[in-house]
Amino acid sequence: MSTNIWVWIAALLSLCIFSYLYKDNPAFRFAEHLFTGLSVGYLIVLYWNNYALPYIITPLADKRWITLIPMLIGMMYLFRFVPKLNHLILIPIAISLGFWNGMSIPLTIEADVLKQVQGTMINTSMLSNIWHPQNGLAVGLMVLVGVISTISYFYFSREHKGVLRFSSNIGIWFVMIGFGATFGYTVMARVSLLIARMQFLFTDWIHLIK
Amino acid sequence: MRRMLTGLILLGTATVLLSAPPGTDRAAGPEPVPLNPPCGVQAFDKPNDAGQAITIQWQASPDEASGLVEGYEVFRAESPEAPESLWVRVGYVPYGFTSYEDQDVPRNGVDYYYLVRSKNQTQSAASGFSNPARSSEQWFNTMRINALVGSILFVIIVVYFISMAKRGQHLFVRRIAGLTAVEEAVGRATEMGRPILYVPGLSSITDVATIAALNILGQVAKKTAEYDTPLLVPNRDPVVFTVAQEIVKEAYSEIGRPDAYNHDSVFYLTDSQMGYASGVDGIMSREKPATNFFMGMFWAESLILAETGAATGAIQIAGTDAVHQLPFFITACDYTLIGEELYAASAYLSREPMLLGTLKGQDWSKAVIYLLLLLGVGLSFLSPGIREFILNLLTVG
Amino acid sequence: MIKFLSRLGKMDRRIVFILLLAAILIPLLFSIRQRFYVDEATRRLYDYVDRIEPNGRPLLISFDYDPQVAAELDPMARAVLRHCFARGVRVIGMSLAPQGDAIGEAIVTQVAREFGKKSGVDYSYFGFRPGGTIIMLQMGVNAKRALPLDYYQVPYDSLPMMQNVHNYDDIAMVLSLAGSTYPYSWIIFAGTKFRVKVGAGQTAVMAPDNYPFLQTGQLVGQMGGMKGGAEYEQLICDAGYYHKPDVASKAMSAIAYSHLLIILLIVLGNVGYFVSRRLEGRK
Repeated sequence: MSTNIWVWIAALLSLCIFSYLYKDNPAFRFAEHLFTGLSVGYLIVLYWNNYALPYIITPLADKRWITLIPMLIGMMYLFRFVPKLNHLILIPIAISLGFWNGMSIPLTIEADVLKQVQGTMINTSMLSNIWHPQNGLAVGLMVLVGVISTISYFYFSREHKGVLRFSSNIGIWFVMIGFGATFGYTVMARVSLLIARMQFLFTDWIHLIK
Repeated sequence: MRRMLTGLILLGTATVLLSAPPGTDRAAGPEPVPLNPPCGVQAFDKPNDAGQAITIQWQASPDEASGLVEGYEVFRAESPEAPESLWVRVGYVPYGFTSYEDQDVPRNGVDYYYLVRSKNQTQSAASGFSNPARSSEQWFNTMRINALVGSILFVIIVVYFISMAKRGQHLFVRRIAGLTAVEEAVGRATEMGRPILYVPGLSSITDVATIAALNILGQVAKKTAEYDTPLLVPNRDPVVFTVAQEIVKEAYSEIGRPDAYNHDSVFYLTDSQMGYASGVDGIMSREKPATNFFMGMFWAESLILAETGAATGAIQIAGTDAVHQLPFFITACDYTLIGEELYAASAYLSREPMLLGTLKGQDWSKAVIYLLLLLGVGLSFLSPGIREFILNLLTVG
Repeated sequence: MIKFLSRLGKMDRRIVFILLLAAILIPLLFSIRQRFYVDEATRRLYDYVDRIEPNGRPLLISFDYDPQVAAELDPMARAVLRHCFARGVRVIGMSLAPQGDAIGEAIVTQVAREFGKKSGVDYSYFGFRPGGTIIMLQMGVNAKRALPLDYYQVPYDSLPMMQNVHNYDDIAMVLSLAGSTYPYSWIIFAGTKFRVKVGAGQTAVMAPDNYPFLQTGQLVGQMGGMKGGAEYEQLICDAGYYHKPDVASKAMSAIAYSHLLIILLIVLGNVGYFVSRRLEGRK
């Protein structure tokens, strides 16, 4: 058994959470609320130290008055609480939306469209290496068919008839196989979390696993 | 005397032997072969940048193939005749690389010379000097023109369709198969005399999925008003709660049954994610709704909700763009709107110009990608030259 | 038999929990070891880190995760740090997730202590930097403004190893460890915009999202879930950088057995479902 008080607290709280597997109970509720409270407290301190202090208070104390401009724009968000001036909240929203769209549309088109289209195109060099798991023709063809058929499934401007129907039917198979893979990975993720908790309880707490 | 002489000669020989430089007389091993340097070092201004960068390229040392080279060191000087102390080491790349970008060029418009040393743990060998190169800045990155054209094209398509929709032009959107199920589900609840549960997701109003969910809620509420079926809408977000209340109220008025609207049918539950999930679970087990709708954004609670709903025997229709939750909804619900189908369903039902225009814009962008792919693959098999051309067209520098 | 099979589909969930617990605990308690293959994506990441110049451009590790997913990502962080420190590669640590702040500090100092490395010389840890993508963009222009003080409030200029780090050009690779879409943001706002190499360590839930980027080379490599961590541990042990496998490798047998159990339950559940449907059909 561990002699460290923090290990004991962590272990007991873990058990409180696990008790939910049987049914909802006060121990679970206690641990859940404790966690919520702690994270709020932690975040307040963190945000004060990392946002308010370095970006507002320190620059203003150093008489860097330019800080006032972004500060005032940001404070316009507070007009949400003043019904008459509610429309002014659109100003900071417009500024941040404009910045983000300008920044991310070209980059997303580059990273998500151009690069990916390039990666999807099969080519003659794949012919020499049909079964290679990364650059082989078989994988290349599968990716190409998958992309084309899935796009056609999510095409809403035409009725799914004829070729489009055939293509979108294949597309939904790809989508479902993709979900299956995600599901499998999710199972591994959840099991991993449980294993790590078991390792903690049986190694750090009661020293049963060496 | 002879003994003394012999002794001196012996001593002298020993001394000579001991003081001989290593590797001459003792022949302990073969002399190490000197490392071959890289060759053909070329330097040029890095194109399309903000200046102060020069690219250096070379041909690998012939020793790289036999695994003798660990990496290459790159040196810079202002003159090829500069003494060794003035050659600054600007970088290192491991073997396998034959180029380096010097990002710390002190001044633009000044000639610099480079040399490259192949290197392993014991030896190094320097190449000849490069040609002189000077860095400069460019205003426009020509290598990104394709991304610019793509961005402009995308924006034009979307704006065009939104303005078309605003002008009231008819934009065709196919009927989503899942929407037929909505009507059936409301009818079934009416027959069974049980309520309908509508969960508008757990996210805030800024989420597109939440907006889509609220649009669909409006249509569902119209149906429940028509058939006089009880509706339950639990909420997690306070803003979504207020909007949902307005939407349901309006739907009842539109159908001409404002009196049938029950103020308590749309209610606030809690902000806590799992607290909300257990609250909705409780409603499902107590009220036994005939139909459950889960539309909008969901996280880890998706399976908890859908599983409980399935256990109560309700018909379940889900819709979300949360890729990681979709598998759970697909397994536990009778019908699921997958990703963009949720937006499409919402645009189809609400005919809101903004949503309709964006959806059409996206469809056209997809058509462009579709064509690009098919053409690219088809043409690249015709000749390697065309393939190179298409790949270059898509490469962003 | 048919009745039994039809009941399988309605098995009490608590029985499933107990079976799963047994499948996990037995291999852990008896220290059963499982052989596993190393995924190409992990190997690519390892190979890249293995070729970073010792005492040259540092590797940036961003601890973009919260305690909820630490079980999957901590082993990855430790394995990569051991690889770097054993080879003399310098490391910059930071976090874009508020709660990753303390997690990163604990792991970096623990591994640094193992290898006798000094803060400011061999590694620098900057803690939580608020702003997410803003920080990614700012790092590309001026790293000092993005990371003015380290975790212990030492100014950037007083950290010897940071003297030559001005922006991404002076960083060998960014490795984002996350249970969310941070690696995607790094690809877009650091990789695509500033051309820095990006690698990822993702929870198993998020790992499949990145395969398109691995295929196109936008990601150098990726460790996926606890198995990714175990693979990296295995690689550094095989290469002699570290002496023993750590927690993730030890968990692999428990993962294997619990997965077998889940596959079995899925098969039985389906058999039960179809049998009970047929029985209902007969009635």
